[in-house]
Amino acid sequence: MNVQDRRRILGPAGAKPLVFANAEAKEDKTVKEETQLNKNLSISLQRGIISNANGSSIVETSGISLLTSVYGPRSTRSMSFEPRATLNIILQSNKFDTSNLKEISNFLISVLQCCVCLEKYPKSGIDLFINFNIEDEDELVQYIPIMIMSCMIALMDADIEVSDIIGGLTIDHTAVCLGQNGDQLLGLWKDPSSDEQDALVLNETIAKCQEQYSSSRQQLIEFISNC
Amino acid sequence: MSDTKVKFPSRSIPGQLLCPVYAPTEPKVTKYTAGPGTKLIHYDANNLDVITSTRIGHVTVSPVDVEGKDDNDMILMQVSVTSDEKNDKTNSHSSKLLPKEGDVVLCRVIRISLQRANVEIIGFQNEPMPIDGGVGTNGHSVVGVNGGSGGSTFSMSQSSSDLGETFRGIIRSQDVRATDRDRVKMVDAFKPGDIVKAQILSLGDGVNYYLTTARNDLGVVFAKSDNGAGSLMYAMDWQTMTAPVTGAVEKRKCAKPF
Amino acid sequence: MSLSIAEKSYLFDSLSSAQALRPDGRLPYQFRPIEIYTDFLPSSNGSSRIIASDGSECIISVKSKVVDHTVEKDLVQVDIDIAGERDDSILVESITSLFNKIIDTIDVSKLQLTQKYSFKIYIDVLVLSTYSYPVSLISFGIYSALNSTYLPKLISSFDDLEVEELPTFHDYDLVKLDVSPPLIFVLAIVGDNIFIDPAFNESKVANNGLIISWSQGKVIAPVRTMALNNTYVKGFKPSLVQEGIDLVNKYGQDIVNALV
Repeated sequence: MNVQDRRRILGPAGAKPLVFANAEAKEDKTVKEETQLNKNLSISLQRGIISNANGSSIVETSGISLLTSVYGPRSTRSMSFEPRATLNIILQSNKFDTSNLKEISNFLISVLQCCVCLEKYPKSGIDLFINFNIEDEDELVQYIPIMIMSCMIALMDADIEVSDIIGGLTIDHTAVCLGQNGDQLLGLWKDPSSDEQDALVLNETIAKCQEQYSSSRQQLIEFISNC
Repeated sequence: MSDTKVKFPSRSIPGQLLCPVYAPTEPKVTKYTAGPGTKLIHYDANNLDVITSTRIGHVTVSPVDVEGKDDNDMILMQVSVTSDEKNDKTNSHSSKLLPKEGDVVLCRVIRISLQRANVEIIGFQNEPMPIDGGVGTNGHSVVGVNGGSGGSTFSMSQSSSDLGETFRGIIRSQDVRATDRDRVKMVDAFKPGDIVKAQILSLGDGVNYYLTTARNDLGVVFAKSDNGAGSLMYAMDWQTMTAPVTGAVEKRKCAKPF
Repeated sequence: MSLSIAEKSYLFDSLSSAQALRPDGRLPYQFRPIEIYTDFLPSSNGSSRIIASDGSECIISVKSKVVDHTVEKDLVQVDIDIAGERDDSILVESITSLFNKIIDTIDVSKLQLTQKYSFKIYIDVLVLSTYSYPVSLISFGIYSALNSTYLPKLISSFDDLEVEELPTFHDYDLVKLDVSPPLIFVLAIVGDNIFIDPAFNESKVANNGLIISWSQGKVIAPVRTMALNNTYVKGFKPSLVQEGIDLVNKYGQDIVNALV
């Protein structure tokens, strides 16, 4: 057997022949919960949907649906020994241009690196794919909290160790990601907006996010401790 | 553990603080170490080193045996979190995610040379594989030219996506058997396509894990005769296998079946 | 180039201690020396070459085209190329996206020629070598390139709504482009300390990075955090963001004065 040969698309491990009749019945496996967000916006969380991914999640709220899947830890083809895992996030949406999406995924990688225990997975790579469908186009920054939430659920569903459940909030076009009960800032994202004030003061925005942090994280904690 | 003041929750979620590293118990101070499913972190809010949970599951606290070292000052305890059994319906839970030192794995021989056999790891002993084991994203989505985790490292993966990539390993000729290790002929031990039970020696280099079959219960478990063209063979002794149909005898380093 | 665990630990301890000491003895707000050459590309309207003291180098060319601004809304476009990186790598694409966002804060009325036509500015950046996150270097280069840009002088009339004519230009007279391009500062957060312009070794032990934009005497959006390595990344005290912004507010003007 030759090396190139192994690049074929192999069937998934333990593949079974196609059975169409029962395709819908299998969806029962998923755990589903509806909780109320503080803005009276209902949000639906599900996990374990994608059968060939290590972990997956669907987060749905009005007008937006996010499907996140986690693959790995799996081998990378890096030639040098890496003592830690490499985290990679790929955002997919047909509504935004790719460079914008890559900038956001770069930011999400920065944030998630703070909580995923990469040192527990040497020599490997963890890939997250976020597909999102939205009805009306808004600024991408509005979706950062929900992206983080779906990544966290998918990572926990894949049983990848994370040292903290982090949360994000978006207030006045500023996304703030917090950890350790809101004491630590993990990520901040502010884009230029039309209503630019004279001096940029972010202290207040961060303080507001810290206040709302625990309530926004609560629904995620409830969801994962119930299932 | 009635003497510990620390109350451990029975279940924990990631980020939940379990205990400080040192607990002032009587008569000795207890020192907790972070086991699987937990992590030692520094908590800035009160400037304390604490052990936090890193997965959803049950908390267990067990004493640590310190061999050869009589530590009279402290009681050593290990805190760990194991995944819930009841969660197993999605099958991703409690599956092993990565091969590590000492694990016994099943692997397939890819190629052999005079010094070593290259293998790919296809499964763990007594453990389910992760759902995506070795299948990459399996066509789930188009991975960009440098997509996939391999993309962020400079390697040939930048030019392709990740189809059917498993962890790779090497069995060096001196690790094939425990005795007479300098005179091992790889062609008499393995053939490409053989399924081999091997133990992981070390994480190895960037690409390969180092594996060994130097134990009676390790070695070839499945092999086909005539370089894979013939039928499945049975082990006759630890270094010969025979095909029941043709009666052909071939040399392998066999695993003891029972 | 990589650092050993011992080197990183030494760097982290010295940078995170109360009396922080940077490996090259700089003050927290001090930049490394940079060399800038401008106007060296004969076929561009403006150009610059910027070299940092660690050997990071980048060349920038500014070209222009006359467009109908009622059709073409986007009047400034940045394109970035980094040697050794694919054009579609996450690094190149995210830096390009950041620069296209920040360049939109430029007052495009300065580019208007007539009621119908405007100049469209193309900024092409080529990073020849880089050892740390290059956005600061690129933004300084773009600043110098735009400040050395001369565009042809318009001689036809401004009001061309009714007449069907294209703008005509003077044969050799040029007008200096007068936009004040924003700058981007990279700050590294190590422990509770914050440093402007982290060098390669400082980036390797930074807990996080801050990208702060500055224009005309004050900090503007975009502001964001960015991991500068993948081993030391963790959260930090939220008040450090404001500290970083204050630092840039205080020293931004001095740094700009040094650039021209």
